[in-house]
Amino acid sequence: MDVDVRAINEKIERESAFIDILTLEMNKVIVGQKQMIESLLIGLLGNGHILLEGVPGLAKTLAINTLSKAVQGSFSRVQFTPDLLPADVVGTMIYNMQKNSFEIKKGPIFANFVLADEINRAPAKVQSALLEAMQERQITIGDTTFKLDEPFLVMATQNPVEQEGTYPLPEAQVDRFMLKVVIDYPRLQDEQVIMRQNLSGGFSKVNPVISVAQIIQARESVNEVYMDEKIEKYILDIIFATRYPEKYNLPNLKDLISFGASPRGSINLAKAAKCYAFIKRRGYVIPEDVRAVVTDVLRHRIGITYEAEAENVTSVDIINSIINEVEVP
Amino acid sequence: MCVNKFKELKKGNIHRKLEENFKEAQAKCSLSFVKGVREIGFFCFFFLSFSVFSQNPVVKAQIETSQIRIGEQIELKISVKETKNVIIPKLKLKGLEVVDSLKLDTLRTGLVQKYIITGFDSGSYYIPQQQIFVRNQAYLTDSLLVNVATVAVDTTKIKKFPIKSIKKEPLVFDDYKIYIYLALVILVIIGFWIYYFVIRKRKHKEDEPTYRVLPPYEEAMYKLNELDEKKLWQNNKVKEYYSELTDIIRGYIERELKIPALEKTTDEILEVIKDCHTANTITTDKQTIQKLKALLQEADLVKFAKSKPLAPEIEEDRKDSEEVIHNLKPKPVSKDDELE
Repeated sequence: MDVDVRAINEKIERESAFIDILTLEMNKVIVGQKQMIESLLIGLLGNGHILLEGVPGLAKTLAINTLSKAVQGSFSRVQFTPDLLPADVVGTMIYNMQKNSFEIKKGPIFANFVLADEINRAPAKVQSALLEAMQERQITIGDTTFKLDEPFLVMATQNPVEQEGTYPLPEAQVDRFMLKVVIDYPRLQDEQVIMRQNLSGGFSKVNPVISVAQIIQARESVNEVYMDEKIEKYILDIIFATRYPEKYNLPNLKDLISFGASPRGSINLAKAAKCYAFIKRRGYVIPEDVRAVVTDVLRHRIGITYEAEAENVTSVDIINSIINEVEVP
Repeated sequence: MCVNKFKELKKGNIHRKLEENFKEAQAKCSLSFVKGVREIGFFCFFFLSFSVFSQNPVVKAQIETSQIRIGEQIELKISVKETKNVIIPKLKLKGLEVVDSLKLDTLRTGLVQKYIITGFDSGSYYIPQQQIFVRNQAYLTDSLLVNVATVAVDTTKIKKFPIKSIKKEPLVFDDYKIYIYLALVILVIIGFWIYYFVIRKRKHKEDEPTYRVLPPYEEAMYKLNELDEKKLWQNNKVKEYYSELTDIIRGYIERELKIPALEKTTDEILEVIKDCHTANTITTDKQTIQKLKALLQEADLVKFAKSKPLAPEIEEDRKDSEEVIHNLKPKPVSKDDELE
């Protein structure tokens, strides 16, 4: 099929103009978390969900709240605790004494932007309820099935510091997140700005700059972003290197990886690369796009062995070794 | 008249009685005749059938001769007049030995099993009755007598010879086969070794392009000339042309500047080269870096965005690539640095 990349490029340039406005609007409130904002946009455009890992106080809640305000979408926050029940997340049927019948009470998941705070504090049944909703994009309460509104973006957070009394997400569940973003402390200059902003009497007001319909249209445009066969091959090489490192001249990684990335990994890597190209206002994917998202896409999809843990080798170290060995097209 | 009548009546009664007696005797006679014929028939049938069965037994055992000398071999033949559902059990002999059991001979009317038997002790021996099963019915063969006679030897008249030394058996294939197999295995291993370490290596050496031994600059130039000869962009293979062109430049950077450029993206390569330039570890100018940037970005457009530059642009890029390779050099190490 002959693809007119020039026309696609022009279209993407035109349609991605809102990205700059949206980023500017978010930067009014969020300072020094460029990577997190980019990841949120990738999740938003790629119809995926994001797992955020970072110590408390890094503006995770603020970021998704700001995004929902800028996109004119609804926002809800669920604080996951050990006594949380699935009905607290998805909703339940409540008896109405006046009408003498059961009524459906929708849970906080019925929103465009959902923040699942400290997801690993809730037991497995609650995590499953949320993750199933994330996958199926529909909720069944009683006999009624509800389709979740579009866009539907879940940003779940995990606290890496406290491990006691937590229920770590199983590999199969983690795999459903498009990206796992690890956020770090802001730089000194950025933190100074944050401090000044807070002391001067709060944040600037966030204005809605884009509608939900525009986001849905942008998603269609993302799918049109051209990905050359060479880029596809590059993505597959990276994914296969996580599975069979010895075939990619990385025999030392063989004992460090217990399982490699799943096909969902290659799908999400390609999708995220396209989204990144769109954010960069390009109608085609280049290896830089793949490089920009590969760590966040694969970080939670590579299982490491006890040997790796003993040697303090993380999945990010493995990804770095792989991208430094796999030839760029 | 009455007397006459009475006489006549008396005569008539007598005559009638006689006739009745005659008929009775005739009936008795015919009955005894039928009985006799039946008895004769029965005896005829009985003797006839007996003679028929006795003449054609179902199983039969025969030997060539009943007189043999010690060690002389004779043939024992067991014939069965049936081809189906016949079981001939293993031959049982007393005092005699079975030398060989020949293959069962299947005829149109029956089966013939032949054995070669012999006796090694003088005396008279019976070949006992052999039980053969035909259609699940057991039949017995006749027992046979075999006389095994000794050979009379007059030791006084026999010429005496010295005791012969032990004679070796003639060698057959089986005696050599282990050595032959071993030799074959050794030959295969040697053949494989020759192929793997000599022929394959030589072939590999032949396949290896000559520019491997060349220094990075000469290698890059050699490859550029090779690329020109391929006339890729002239044949509408612009993407392949730019892929090979950038591979040559990146390969040169990797070998000459020791930067892993083949595993880096355009931005990363430029960043590293800028850092090297800032750190003064390479001898180049900003113009060359700009040209490299333009060239790599143009190549990215061709490779990943289906861009098709015009012929003069391609020629310009080809010229720039040569210039970049020419101007990108590591800083020569001075003697003082070397000493340090």
